[in-house]
Amino acid sequence: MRRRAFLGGAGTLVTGSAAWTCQRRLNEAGWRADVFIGEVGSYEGPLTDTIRRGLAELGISRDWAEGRSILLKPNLVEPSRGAPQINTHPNVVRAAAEVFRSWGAREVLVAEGQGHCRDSHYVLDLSGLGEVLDHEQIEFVDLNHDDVEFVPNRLGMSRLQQLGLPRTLLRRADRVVSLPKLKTHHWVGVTLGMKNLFGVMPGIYYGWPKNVLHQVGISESILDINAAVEPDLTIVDAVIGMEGDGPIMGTPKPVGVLVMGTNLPAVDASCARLMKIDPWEIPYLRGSSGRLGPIAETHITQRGEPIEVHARPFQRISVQSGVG
Amino acid sequence: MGSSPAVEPTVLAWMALTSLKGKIPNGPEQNLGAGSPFASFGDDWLLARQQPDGSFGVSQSLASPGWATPYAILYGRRVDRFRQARQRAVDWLLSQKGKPIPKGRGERAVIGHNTTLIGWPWIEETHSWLEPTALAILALVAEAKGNDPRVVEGFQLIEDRALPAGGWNYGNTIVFGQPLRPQPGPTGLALLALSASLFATPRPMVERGVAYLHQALPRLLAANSLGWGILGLRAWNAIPDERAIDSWLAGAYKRTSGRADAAAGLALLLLAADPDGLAWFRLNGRPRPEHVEGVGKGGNQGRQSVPAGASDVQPR
Repeated sequence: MRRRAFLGGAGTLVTGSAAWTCQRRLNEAGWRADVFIGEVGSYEGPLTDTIRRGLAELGISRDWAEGRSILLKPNLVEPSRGAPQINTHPNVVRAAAEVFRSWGAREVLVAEGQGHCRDSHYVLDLSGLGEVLDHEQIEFVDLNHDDVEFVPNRLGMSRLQQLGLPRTLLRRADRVVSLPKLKTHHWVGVTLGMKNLFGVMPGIYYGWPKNVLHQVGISESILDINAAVEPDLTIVDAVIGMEGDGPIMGTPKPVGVLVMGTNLPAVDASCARLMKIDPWEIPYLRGSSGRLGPIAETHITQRGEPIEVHARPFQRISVQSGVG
Repeated sequence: MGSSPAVEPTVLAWMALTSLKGKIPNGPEQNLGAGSPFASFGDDWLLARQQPDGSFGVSQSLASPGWATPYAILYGRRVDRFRQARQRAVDWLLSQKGKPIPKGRGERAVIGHNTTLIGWPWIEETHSWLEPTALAILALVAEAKGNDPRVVEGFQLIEDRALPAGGWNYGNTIVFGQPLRPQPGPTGLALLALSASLFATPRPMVERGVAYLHQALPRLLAANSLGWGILGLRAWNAIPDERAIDSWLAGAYKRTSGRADAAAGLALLLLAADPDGLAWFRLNGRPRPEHVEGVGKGGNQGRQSVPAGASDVQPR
């Protein structure tokens, strides 16, 4: 079945037939994934220990990182002081870097290609991450201005024939770790580990905002990018999430947990359930089912804290296309 | 790992170093200027970036998109060898149009700006945004195209994208009923472009932009944003205190130097530090506008659409 059958008729699928959902679950029958939820309470909580515990629960040990280049991709969507719901918190980035460095990573990089502000250092400074990177001596790579290499669009959900990706991601990084926020998104429903990878696409080639990707379909682009990048891990900053008019203008929504996993659709589906949003209602999650991973509850093994303990309803607004 | 040379930082660095020539005794920039080997090499490199359609590719490794073309035009005004290249680049730039979003589509209900105005996009066949429109205007006005209908509409777009409380961002004003936040870099660039207008610019809009920069720049250490911001203030003769500017620039320089991606930022700091830096973005012989005071938040709310007249800022 081609992409339009999954993504195009959102309305039909949302109201959806039980038969269709049943078919999708069959399509992902070969997929299984583990997702870890760990309670940290606040950004002053046990972030490093929780990440270590999560990695252990996911079967990831020192040799995953030892001697390797680890690229951490936070979500730095907007320069703003004092709004902890917008960008990945610096303490989460610091904790992830600390864990991988302690495991003997050859290097840990932080890389971002934010879509709404060309001055990366302005975004870094206002988010508080710049100070942390300086203090911890962690290199930052501006993916918006990185050299671009082109790879075939192997999934082909959008009409793009090829994708321009940053050379740092393709040639330098051995492991790609998505470090998103738990947020609603006014165009595509939610923004989590998969949508966060929009930010690896270089602005020098796709613009600010990345309208080329918007025009071929945000959901389709998310799927194509994830298939091309093949991220290794995601650690979702769900300590303070965002509800309402995300990904920028929404309001804080404390949840107090980190969510981790190696299969991004599965992690994002669990995050959606934390937000009391049905992942089958999110077009790109639905499209990822059976292609990039599982999103059905029965195909995801929850580790750590149960979803039900921390789940709370996130208010949202949604329009299924648009610019900006 | 680094990245290959790109037009934007190269041109900005070249502008900054050329402006410095003769101002620092025995400085390395003494070797610059027409006829020097360094200049010739730089000119050759930049000319090699021009594509058959007249645009300039953004970098040595990317022949497209062509959004850096205005930089090449602005730089090329001072180099005789660029005469033909400039003309082809201007023709290409005038052929580029942002993609409007027709009224009546779903997006228009939630997007606050006028999506039908034709400005300039970052990437061909996409929507228009603030920064590429401002850069295109600066280049075209410098090429004496200030009366071209495309440029006039470009000014309208910049005015339309002004944020209600003052300043500009990348080009979204209100989305789902919520006003978005200003950013100093686009605000400086917008003010710089508006100062090039041959027509009147609503004074309250300029004052609110200046006021935003007066409030935002003193705390800013990010070089690109600070550089564009100061250039925007200089364009409206709205520098609060040159000694304060020196302090801001010093802080940003300290924060920026040594970074692998520092070239564009340091160049902008140099251009901002040098009162002559503004000349790169202006039509030759154009005087600076009258002094503009910033206004505090809450003052002069609401965009005024006024014809050229006494209440407007006349930057000529």
